Amino acid sequence: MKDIFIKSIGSYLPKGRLSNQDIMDKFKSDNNDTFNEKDMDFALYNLQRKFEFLGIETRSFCNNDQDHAINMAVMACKEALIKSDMIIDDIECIICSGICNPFREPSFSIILANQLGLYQGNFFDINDTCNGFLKSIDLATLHINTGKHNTVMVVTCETPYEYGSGAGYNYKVNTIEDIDNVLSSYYVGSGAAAMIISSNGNGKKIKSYVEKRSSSNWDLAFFTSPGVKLPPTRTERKNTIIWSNPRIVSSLILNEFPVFIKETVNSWNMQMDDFDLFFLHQLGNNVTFAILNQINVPYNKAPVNTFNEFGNMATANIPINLCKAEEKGLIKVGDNILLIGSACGLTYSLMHLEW
Amino acid sequence: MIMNQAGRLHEGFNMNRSITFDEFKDMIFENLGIEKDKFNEGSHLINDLGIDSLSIVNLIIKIERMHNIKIDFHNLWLLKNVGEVYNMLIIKLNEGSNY
Repeated sequence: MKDIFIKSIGSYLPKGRLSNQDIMDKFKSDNNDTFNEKDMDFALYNLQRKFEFLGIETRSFCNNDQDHAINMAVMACKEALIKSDMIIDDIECIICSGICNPFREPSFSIILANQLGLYQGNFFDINDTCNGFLKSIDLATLHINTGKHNTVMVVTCETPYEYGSGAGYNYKVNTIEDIDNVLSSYYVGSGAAAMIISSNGNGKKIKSYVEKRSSSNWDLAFFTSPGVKLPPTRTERKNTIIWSNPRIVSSLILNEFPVFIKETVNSWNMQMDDFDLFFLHQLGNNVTFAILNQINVPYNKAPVNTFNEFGNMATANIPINLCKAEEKGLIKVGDNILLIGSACGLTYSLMHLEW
Repeated sequence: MIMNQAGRLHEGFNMNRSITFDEFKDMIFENLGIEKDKFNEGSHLINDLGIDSLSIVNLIIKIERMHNIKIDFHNLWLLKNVGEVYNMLIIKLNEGSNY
């Protein structure tokens, strides 16, 4: 197996921010006909307190014509190219992921390659829910290991408000209890990231990638196209494009994931203390810090958690936070880094990087 | 300390509770649908009951409104069992309103 190197990582965040009050105002506007004054008052209090519990203050979103999916991805890719001192013609393959990917045909990656000035190559998209970026790296390493390509650019871009607006999404609920089932849509964020991976390089290495999947809980969380027909589900799903059972999802994650992390680290003949930095998928303070507690990792080893400012950027969470850590000088040469991803499905994933 | 390491309520603990443990069990049943005879103060929230901290927040929000108080969420995710949550609530209730 060849050594696989990370040449660089770039990111782009739109300037717009949506506050908790912005979301509550939208909620009130969309539900004025649903609740009487007393219930609306309680619903808004309920939302405010849950935002405080999760630790979110704002969400990143595109507030001008220049900030849209393709442009954001282009900006992240250009930053990665500059950092690696490479030109676009050095890239042989582009793999794009994102749960908000607005393109079916042609693919996001084809359009992105064209906008970057790359007219020949292997360009394709994948869908692996919030695990898309780590899975793209996994595929890139396979391509490099088989000798198919030497250099691959892995890209993610999430624009949930652009997608939601086009899909006619609103904040309408039927009961106060329904809020929990759509709460995840109230803290989504926008962002893009790109990583250049190559068989040539020195320093930053991709050491291992492991994932664990189970299909038995496929019906606990959805992000679907409007009107999509589903097989029978265990609980009633209201008519909305985004829905989840957060109580069961987070209790499953907290029950199963720490065990998987410990077993995997042991299988690598490493100890948790061997890792210098941890980067976790961003689902809120409750999940992030509960996982760190269960694997006995001090919070200062996970120094970049952007949920409070940008929200849950799905596939873009981990690479953007990794990029920010590098920009802030938080990563030292030789550091062992554990990327901790989780996604609908359910999926758990771990990637070991050596910087 | 008001509880031992297993989360059991200490017998000598007799602060001026505004919610009895039985009333708290009623709230868990009404809000989370878990039968009262299926859990006690030592039941593990996640492993035994499948309750995450967001579910606890739902209970807290209702208690806050009932008693006109605001409860600090800090480190709520560290609580492991039903008794620890109940004891935390009793302490906060006895601290009074911080509105």
